[in-house]
Amino acid sequence: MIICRCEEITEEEIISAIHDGATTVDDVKRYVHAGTGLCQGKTCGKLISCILARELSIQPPESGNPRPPVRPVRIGDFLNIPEGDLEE
Amino acid sequence: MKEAEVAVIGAGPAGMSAAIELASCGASVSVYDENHKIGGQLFKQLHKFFGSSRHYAGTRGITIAEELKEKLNSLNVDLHLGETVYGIFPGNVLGIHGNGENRLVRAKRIILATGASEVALPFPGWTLPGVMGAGAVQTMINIHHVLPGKRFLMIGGGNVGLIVSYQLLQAGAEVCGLVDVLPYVKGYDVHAAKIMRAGVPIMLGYTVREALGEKEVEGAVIAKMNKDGTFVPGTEQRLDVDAICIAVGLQPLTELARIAGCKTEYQPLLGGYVPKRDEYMETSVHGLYIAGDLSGISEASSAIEEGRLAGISVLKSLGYDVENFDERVNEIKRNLKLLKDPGRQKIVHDPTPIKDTKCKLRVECYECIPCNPCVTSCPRGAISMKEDITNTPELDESKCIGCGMCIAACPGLALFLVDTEYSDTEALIQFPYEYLPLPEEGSMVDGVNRKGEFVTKATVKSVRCPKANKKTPVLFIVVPKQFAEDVRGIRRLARK
Repeated sequence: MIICRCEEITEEEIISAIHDGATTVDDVKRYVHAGTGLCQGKTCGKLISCILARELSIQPPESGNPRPPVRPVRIGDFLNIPEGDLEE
Repeated sequence: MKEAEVAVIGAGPAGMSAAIELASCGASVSVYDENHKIGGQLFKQLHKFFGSSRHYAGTRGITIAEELKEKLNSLNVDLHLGETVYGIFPGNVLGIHGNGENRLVRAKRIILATGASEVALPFPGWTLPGVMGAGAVQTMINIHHVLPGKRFLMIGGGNVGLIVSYQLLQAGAEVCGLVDVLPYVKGYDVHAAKIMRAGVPIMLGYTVREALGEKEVEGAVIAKMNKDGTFVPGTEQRLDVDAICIAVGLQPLTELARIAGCKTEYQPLLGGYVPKRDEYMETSVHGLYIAGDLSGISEASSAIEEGRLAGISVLKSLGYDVENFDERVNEIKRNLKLLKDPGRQKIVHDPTPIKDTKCKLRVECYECIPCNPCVTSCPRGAISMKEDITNTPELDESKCIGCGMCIAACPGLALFLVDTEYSDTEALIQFPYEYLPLPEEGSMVDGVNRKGEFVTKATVKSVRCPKANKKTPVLFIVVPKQFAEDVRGIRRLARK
């Protein structure tokens, strides 16, 4: 069953990552690339957190480590930030 | 770099309410929302809200959104729609993208009102087209007037699942079943009663086992679930549906708050991890406030109150003279306690047995929920509540004159008038009916009971919808006397 729709990562792959030692949503992300797609884990983050909680009998860990941009922004658009804004 | 005195991120009920407080007091406010319309989720809420009549109870979400929008537009607010805040950088600097621009803005104070997103539910087949979130369904049917399926399975018996089921019926779809793993209905009893009268089976202890279909949903299998998450063999049922709606919860959109460095805490009752905040809605980051679903999943009325609280707290922190600050803070806190006390137990009383009485009103509201429009709509003061609005209504039969003013006022559609003396053999029943098409006066319809089951043929005596009903028509139907206490609705008429 697919958990991460963007990258088509299955529940089995996530469970095997946990059995290989992953304990956080970020660990799973680095190991099997779940949550690295277009939505950046917005849907699967919580699901992975629940799978971790179930497999490891722990409180669901907080998902991911959010960084800007929280929404897709074209890289070219970052070049358009007015220079004055960046100088300060 | 552009400077803003206060930046509000999110123009839903919380953000709008905060901006209104701020601008009313003369603060300079910039509001950002990635959507092209203000109102957040409010414009999708076509049902009447609960709560206190002094606020917005009995008003539809869409009407509340219009009122807030009008107020916001009348004030001097710098509104940026279609602009996404994609990051918060040290020194309360916002990265803003949209409308062909990418710029940074420094704000003295920030109010984050980013709301929540839906929680998904994985099951075999959940990635098939036709499986969708309840919010998406609401957007399609209520905003874009597109029906994304004809026959739905609803997963989740919380208020969202119950309300969206009702809205799907109103939009002309069928809801073939509502399943929830819990042994009880988590949402409000009156919301469940509405869809049960419409014939929606509510299957408790059940959940979806798989979605069937090759390229899209062609059916669903539901089954009873054990406490350990396994299915009870032999309980599988196949439902002939073409759409599956997931309404299993919401999670606060905390990304921006976390990027800004706000400490969070795990609060399962509030939807998972939420930013820590003090009683004035300020987070662990100085100058950064939160309001609405981001601070814990609740409904729009609470978001409005929290927005107000964040708004006046920011004003105070900026040195504005906020009239009666302490009093206002206490009032908002009282309202919030009534609206959302996560510790409040679900209290549902047993239905009151119907006595042999001259009084025509039937109050089928048995759950303690924060709501009081029945009390305020009664011109004779026949309905009252002990202490506060979270109690169930009490009827003084000697005062009720059977005028029916309360029927359309009740947001839960839980009040009925039953005149057993209408004629020697017939009774007249009045009830709210929010489906199109409305039956014609004089026509014969199918009278149904509280579970939506056929009871008897009924004649429609009249259909009334004066302006005061706020778009809740009241039907008057005549049924044989012996069915007076069974019939509580009619079968919906087919659309042409």
